[in-house]
Amino acid sequence: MAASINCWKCLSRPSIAVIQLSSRVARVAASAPFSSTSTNLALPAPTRKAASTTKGVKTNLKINKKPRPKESRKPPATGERKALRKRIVLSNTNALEVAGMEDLSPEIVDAIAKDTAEGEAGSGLVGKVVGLPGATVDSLRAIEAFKTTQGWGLFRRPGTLIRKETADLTRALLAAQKEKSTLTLMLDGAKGTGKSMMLLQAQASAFAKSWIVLHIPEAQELSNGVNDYAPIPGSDLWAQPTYTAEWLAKIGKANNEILKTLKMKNTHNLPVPIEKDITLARFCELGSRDPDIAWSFFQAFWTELNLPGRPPVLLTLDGMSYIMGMSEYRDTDNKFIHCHNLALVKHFADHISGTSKLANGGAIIGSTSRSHNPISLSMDLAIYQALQRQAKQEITQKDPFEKKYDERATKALQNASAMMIGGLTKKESRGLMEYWAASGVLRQRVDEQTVAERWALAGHGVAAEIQRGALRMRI
Amino acid sequence: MFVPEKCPSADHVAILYMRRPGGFIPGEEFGATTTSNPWNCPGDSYDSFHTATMVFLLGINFPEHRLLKHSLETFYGIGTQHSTRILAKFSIFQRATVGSIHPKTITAITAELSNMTIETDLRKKVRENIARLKDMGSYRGRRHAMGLPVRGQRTRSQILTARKLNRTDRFG
Repeated sequence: MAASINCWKCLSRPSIAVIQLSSRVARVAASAPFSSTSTNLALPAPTRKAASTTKGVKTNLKINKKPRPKESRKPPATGERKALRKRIVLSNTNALEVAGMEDLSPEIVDAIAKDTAEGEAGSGLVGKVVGLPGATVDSLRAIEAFKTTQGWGLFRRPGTLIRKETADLTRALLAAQKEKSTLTLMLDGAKGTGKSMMLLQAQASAFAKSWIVLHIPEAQELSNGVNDYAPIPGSDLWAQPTYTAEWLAKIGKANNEILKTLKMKNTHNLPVPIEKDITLARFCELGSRDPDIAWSFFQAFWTELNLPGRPPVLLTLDGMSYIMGMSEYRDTDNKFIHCHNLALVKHFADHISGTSKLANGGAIIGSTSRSHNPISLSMDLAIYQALQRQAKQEITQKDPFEKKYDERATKALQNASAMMIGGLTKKESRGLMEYWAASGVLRQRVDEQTVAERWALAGHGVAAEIQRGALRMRI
Repeated sequence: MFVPEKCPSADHVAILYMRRPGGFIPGEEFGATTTSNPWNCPGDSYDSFHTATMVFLLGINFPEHRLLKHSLETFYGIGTQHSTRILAKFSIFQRATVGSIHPKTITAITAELSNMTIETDLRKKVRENIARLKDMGSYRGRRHAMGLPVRGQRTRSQILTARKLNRTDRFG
C-alpha cells in the first residue's frame, strides 16, 4: 500500500516523488489558488542581497534625501503679508444687528459726561455699548485708532462699551473745551485693560464734538529707527520727513470734514509757495506730498490750529514708554539721539509737559503699552506720583540709588495727570456680555452667575481676558 | 582675472561678482568680466543681472533693494561699527535701502569709503605686517611662514585655521 499523504497514522514514510509533488502543489495553491499558468509555477523572485562590502570599493553611505519641494505658487508680493497682518476688519455679516444700540452722537457724548460712577444721576449709559457712527469710523480708521487685536471683526458694526473711566474722561474733555484749557493725561493700566480703547473713545468723542484729532498710533515707529530722519538746520532737533508727511496725510483725511471749512489765515515762512486762502485740508494734502517740506508744513498747520476761533485739538499717542529714552537714531558723531530731540516727539513732550498750551482748548493724552514695551522708570514714577497727587496721598520720591531715570522724561511728565485703568466692574462686564449675546456671538445665557464667573476668571474684569474667555476660547 | 571653473547660473554670477573678495578695480577687471562670457555658454545672458536697477558704490554694483548697511559690510574692512558710523555721519537710518539714498549722498559715501583703508589697501597692509614680522626674524614671523599657530596655541590638534590663514602671502 502506498502511503497516503493524509494518512497521518501511517508510520511508513512517503516516497520522495510524493514529497516533491506535494510541496509543489502546496506552493501553487499558496501563490495562485485559481490559476495554473506557468508564470505562477515559476520559482519565487530571488531576494535582493544586502550590498556587499568589498574591501577597497567605496559604498555609497549617503542617505538619499528628498529634494526640497519647489514652491509652485507665486511668492507674495512686496507688502502683501504686512497688509494682511495689519488688516482691520470692522464688520461681520454673520453677527446680528443689535437692536436699540445708540450711536455716539454729540448728544450722547454730553450724556456720557453727565454719568456718574454709579450711573444713577446721569443717562445710565455706563455699562452699555454704544455704536460708532459711520463718519467717525472712517476717521478713526484713517488715524489708525483700531487695532487688530481688539476683536472688531466679530461684530456687525463697531461699538464700544461705556465705562466709568469713559465718563470721567469725557467729562474732562468737555470741561477742557468749555474752559479752553489743556488737559494733559497719561493712561496706564495692566495689559488688556483697555488703554488703547480709552484713547479710541476719547478720539470718537472728539470727532463727534468736531474737534481736530491727531494720533500717533505706534510711538515705537518714531524711535526705533525704521523711518528716515534728517537734521533740522539751526537747531539740535531731527525731523522724520517721511513719517511726518504720512502723518499729515492721515490728519488731513481723518479731519477732512472740519479742515475743509477752515481757511489759512496767516502767512507762513514755507519752503514752497502756496496758493492764498487755501483750506487746511488742502494744506495738509500739499504738505504730505513732499517729505522734505512736511515738517515745515506741520509747524504752520499747528500754528493755524492755535489761532483764535479754531476748534479744540486732541493729540494722542499710544505706547509712551518708547519715547521716554534714547532712540535708535544716531547723530553725526555716532551718538544715540534722545527721543526728545526728534521734532515730532518733542512736539508731543512739550505739550504733555504743559510747556506749550493749546490756545483753543483740548487734550494731550498719552497711553502706555504694557505688552512688550521698554521699561521707562521715569514714566512709571511720574504716573505713580500723579496718581498719588490726585488722591492727595504722600508722594513717592525717586530712588536715590537708581541711575536709570531719564531726566528729560521726568521733566516732560511731571505735570501731567494720570488715569489708572483697571478691570471692568461686574455691571460693565454684564453690559458687554449682553451686547455679545445680542450680537449672537456669545451663545450662552448671561446671568449673574456666568458674568461673575467670567469676571473672576478674567483677573477681576480685565476686558481683553473676558473677551478671550467668552468669545475666543469657546470649546 | 577671476573666473569660476563652471558656468554658474546668472544668480551665482551676480553673487560671485558682488562678493568677490578683493573687490574689483573699477573699469578694469569688473568691467572686463561682465561684458564678456568666459564660458561661451548659451542660454542665460551672462550679464543678465545688470538688467535690475543697480547702484554703483565704490566701483561695485548693488541691487537697489539691498540694505545700505549690508552693502557697506560686504567690503573687506567694514563691519558693523564702521557701517554704523558711516550711516550716522550721513544721517541715514538703519533700514535704508541702497535705492532710497540720494545720488549725492551715494557719491559722498563713495568718497568716504575711498578715504578709508579697506579692500586691497587693507589686505596689503595685513601682508606687510606679516612680512615685517618675518623679515626681522621674529618668532611670530616664523610661525606665520610655517603656517602654524602664532600665539602659543597647542599644535597637537585643531590648527586648521592657522594652516589656512597664517602665511606670508595671506590674502586678507
